Amino acid sequence: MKKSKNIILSLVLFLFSVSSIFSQLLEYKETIIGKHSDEVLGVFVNEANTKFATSSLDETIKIWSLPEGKELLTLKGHLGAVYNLSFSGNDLMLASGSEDQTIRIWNVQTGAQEKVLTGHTGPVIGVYFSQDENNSMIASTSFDKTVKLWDVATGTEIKTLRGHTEATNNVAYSYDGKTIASCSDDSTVRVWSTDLTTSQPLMVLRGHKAPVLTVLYSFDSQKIASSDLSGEVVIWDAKTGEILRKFKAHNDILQDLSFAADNRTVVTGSLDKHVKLWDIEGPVLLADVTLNAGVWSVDLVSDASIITVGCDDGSVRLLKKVVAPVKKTKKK
Amino acid sequence: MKKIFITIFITIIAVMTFSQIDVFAFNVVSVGGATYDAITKKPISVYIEIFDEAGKRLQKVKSNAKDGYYFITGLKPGQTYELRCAEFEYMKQSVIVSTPASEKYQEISKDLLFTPKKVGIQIPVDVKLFEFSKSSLKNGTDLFLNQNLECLKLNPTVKIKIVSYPDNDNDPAKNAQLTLERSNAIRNYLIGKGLEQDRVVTEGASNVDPKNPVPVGKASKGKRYVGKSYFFIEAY
Repeated sequence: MKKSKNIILSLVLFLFSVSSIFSQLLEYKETIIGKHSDEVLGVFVNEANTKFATSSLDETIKIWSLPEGKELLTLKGHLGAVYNLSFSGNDLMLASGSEDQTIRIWNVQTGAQEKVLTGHTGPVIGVYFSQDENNSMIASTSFDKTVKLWDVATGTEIKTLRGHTEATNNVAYSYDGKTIASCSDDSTVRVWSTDLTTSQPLMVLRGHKAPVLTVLYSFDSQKIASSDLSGEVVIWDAKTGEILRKFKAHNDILQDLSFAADNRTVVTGSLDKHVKLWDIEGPVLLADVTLNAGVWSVDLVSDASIITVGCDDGSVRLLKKVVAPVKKTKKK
Repeated sequence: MKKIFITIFITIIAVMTFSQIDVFAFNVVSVGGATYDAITKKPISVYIEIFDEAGKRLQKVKSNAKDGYYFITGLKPGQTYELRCAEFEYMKQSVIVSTPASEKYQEISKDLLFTPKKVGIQIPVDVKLFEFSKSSLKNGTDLFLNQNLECLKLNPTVKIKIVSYPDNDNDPAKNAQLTLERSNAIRNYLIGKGLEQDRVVTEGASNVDPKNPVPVGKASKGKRYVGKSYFFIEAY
């Protein structure tokens, strides 16, 4: 009798703790702000948190205002799906990578195409501006299994990093400007030096059991986050390559993730129709928003108050954090 | 007096020599990359010739058989060079490389794809030239078609057939008409840019490309399927 009483008590406590966890989840309000005519594959918020760009299977790029979500420009020029985007640190340029094997650099103010970089021998999947003062370089990844580095001013292909044995999916510069991380269908993340005289990776990070689809540095350059085809997230120590956290975040393809400015809040989006916000120190689930469409791409503003989402139904959505009304206290 | 003249003379020679070393020995650009078969995308070992803007051959290097790697050094900054494949089994192709203007040693990268010269070989056009169910060339396709055009002009004995495939299997008769129009649109572009008419014939297809069928399900990033176009080498 006493045993069953204990079991019931434990059950009650468990249910209470579960309900309290759920009640602590942050709330986000979803708004569809516009549409591409096909799936939205890339989303990138600019440095100033005033604009974001989306890229699509419809071969266009759109630039939107923040926080309003007003469509500002549509950029046309690519001859295939536009897989990914990156704003330069000064927010004046946008780089895009496409199925047409090119990287294009656009003027963010006018929407004019400024440069076409050719040299990859397969579709370009990832692009990322270097984080130096002049945003002088772009890194790109491709189905051709390479990582290429480009001089932005001249449009010259400066270096090809080889070592991945399958298509390279995404690439990111560290914010201290010292390293580049790339990820691949070969299930590895490779960390390279930005010193152009070296060509071997500094580290090969093994921990994923599926193709790694995206990789990103935290703003303090201390951590690397990566996600894979099976829905797992791995957080790595950027200096040692040690796995700090590894967790199943979604039940379908986890194509995209992004860090908030606090270096511990990470947003993830998946084809399982969920957008989730995590405190990776736990990991603790902070928010879980269910949509009616699969998610290819996510990004957020620095304080995580707005999440930008690109969906497989062509919609572009904003998730805005619902701020709880402040309780008024009676004055004595 | 004589000693002074000799000293001045030696000094001038020394300065000129050192300035030449500075310019010609250290201020150079190197190009490195890999050579691949354009069809199989496998590394190949080929001789590559380097020409300057005046058409003078400067060097001939051979790429590595294992990984296709090649390395060319001694190029001047701020110049344009032409790289050509010097192998009879491959189409003559010209790759233009512009070296950056730099005051210090610099390396740049360029991977090279070379197309085998064999009758019947099928050369895919890797970019989508047409919209879904449309037969007019999309804006911007000239960037890619001009590469094919230049290659055909460098290989004047090569004759080709352009074959285009449809976007689905819904209506074979309509597909045949659409794809013939697509092939003709490519042919008209090439002829409009100076290619001899008798070197290009066209063909359509009623059903989707058997080598590149409509994908089923989703990959990590989806793709809208548009039928491909190919160049077949008919004679050379």
